[in-house]
Amino acid sequence: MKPSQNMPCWYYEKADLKKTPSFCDGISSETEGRYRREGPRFIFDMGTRLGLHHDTIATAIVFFHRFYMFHTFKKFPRYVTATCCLFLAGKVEETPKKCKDLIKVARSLLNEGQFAQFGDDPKEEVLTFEKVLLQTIKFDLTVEHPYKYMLQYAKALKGISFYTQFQYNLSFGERSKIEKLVQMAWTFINDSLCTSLCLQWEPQIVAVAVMYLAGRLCKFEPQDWAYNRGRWWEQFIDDISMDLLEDICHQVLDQYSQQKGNKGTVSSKVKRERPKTPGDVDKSAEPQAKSSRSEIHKPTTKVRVVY
Amino acid sequence: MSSKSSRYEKIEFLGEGQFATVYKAKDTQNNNNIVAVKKIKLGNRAEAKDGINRTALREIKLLQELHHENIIGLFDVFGQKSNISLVFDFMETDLEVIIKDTSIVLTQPNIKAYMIMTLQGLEYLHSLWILHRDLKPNNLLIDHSGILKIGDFGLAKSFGSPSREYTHQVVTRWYRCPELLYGARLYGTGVDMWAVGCILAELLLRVPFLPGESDLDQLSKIFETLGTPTEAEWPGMTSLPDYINFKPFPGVPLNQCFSAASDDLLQVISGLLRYNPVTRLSASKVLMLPFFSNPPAPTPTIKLPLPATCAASLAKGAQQLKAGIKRKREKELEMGGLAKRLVF
Repeated sequence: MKPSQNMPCWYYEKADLKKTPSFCDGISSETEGRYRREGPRFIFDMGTRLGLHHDTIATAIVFFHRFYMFHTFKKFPRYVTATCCLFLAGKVEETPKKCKDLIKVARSLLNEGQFAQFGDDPKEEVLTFEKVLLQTIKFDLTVEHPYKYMLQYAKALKGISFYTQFQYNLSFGERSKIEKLVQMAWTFINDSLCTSLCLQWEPQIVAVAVMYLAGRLCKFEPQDWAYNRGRWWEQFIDDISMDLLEDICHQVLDQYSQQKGNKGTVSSKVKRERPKTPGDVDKSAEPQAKSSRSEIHKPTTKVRVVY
Repeated sequence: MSSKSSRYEKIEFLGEGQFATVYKAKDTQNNNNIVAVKKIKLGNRAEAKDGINRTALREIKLLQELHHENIIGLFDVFGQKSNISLVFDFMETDLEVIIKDTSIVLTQPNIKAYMIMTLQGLEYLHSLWILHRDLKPNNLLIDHSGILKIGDFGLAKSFGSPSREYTHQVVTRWYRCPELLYGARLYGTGVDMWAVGCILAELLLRVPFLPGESDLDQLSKIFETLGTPTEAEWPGMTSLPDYINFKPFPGVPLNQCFSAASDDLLQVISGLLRYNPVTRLSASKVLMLPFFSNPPAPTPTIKLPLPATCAASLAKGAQQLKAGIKRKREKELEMGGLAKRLVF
């Protein structure tokens, strides 16, 4: 018996993602979707306020999504869970923050009604939660995120562009285009964390998808320098279909339209400040990019990831 | 989750440390396999003011990623109301017990076998950029079939053999390399390699090789024995934070320290105990030295000596154990692949 065999699988089919404990508890999919955006955004806000590393923030958000695959939002209020996820992620990623400091920030970001979720003794509440959280996520503490893969792929593409630059006399502007693409893709990764994508696909696949999306939006397609006459991502990941990539892109983009519809329900006190990368995306282009395509079904076989 | 704690049936108390209590237990859901359960103390409210212990989280995170025959295996982690428990391979004994057991003869083939297992575990760790930083004989654990596994990641003592006495030598300085003693902030795999050198020396001498009584005394013990290093021999030494000038000792030639050791073995020791951490040999380099391919061959693990106390308890449960091993084999076959065996 090897420990790895005890490790849970955290990737779900779309059908499973619809039948969550919250859904079975009478919470509509729309409401759950909103909670799954509000929690992560709150984690972003707290993390940014505390100067935490993007990996710590992302780990906390992944913990949050995984937690609600086993528990319902009715029983576990989202802001307490979110605070606890960031508390644990801080320790796991070696960027610890004191529980009392997290609560202080939470109090400043939430309105009175929302902060009431923490009860009379907020610190005790978070510490009690931590044990439930650890057991729910099955002590699986090592979480990978798309950021590092995206940067790695971009670096590889940049290398190719540098080479082809001389071969095909491409302008030096091509390289700065990759930099722009990276900044845009970075923001999309942040946004992808407010969806259930981390419960569907490995970080490598999400990384390729957001780069593909960013490429489409800044009208810059690295496949100009096709790798072995294939798509540029084939050098990183095998067997990834166009349909799958587009499906992931739509999931990232869909939240912008939902965001608009639900704007009134989110507290004005919770600011939507997400950690910005230099040159934040021009958001005006995004809602239009959402197409009316019918939902693409995920292939039944998992994509093989090449390391 | 209470089902998890009843899964492991407590057999006996093994030891207690600063952060944890260790029990011998049987896994009632897996053929009554013997395991060690390490219960992390959460302490009272004042101590636990920031929740689950960070060192425990670190150990869990690290060990979940590590799978090697010569690294302690973490089978399971479970939580109860107020604490968390880690479930490990049960290890009969450790190298410290074996070194101290004067009834055991450590032949060169035995020493060769222990060194190969230690170095292979370390090579794996270092290949994953993990430093152990606390290697010493009682962290080199040995199971019933003689296989050595590196243990205790990030947590101080408490986990190990039932027969071990807890002394003041907790974070023992005897295995600490000179750059650490000089306060180096940047160090690498060399800290573990130095410790292996000291452990190898101890296997030969049967007493600690450099038993310093203070950090300063540790340095003078090292220099008296191996000679005071010069800036030429170890560039950068004099600019280390806690550098102090020592009287130049000539040192004792290694073949006088270890009069019974063969030349190829002395080559291993001198490669491990080089002052300059940059030129100190890595685990992979050491394993390629002639000592490990020259005769005599290392003792097969199953024939390695065990302390009398273990041998007796093993004989008692021999029948059960045999069946256990057989079941394990079958299980491995079911899993579609045998665990990598050491090839000697």
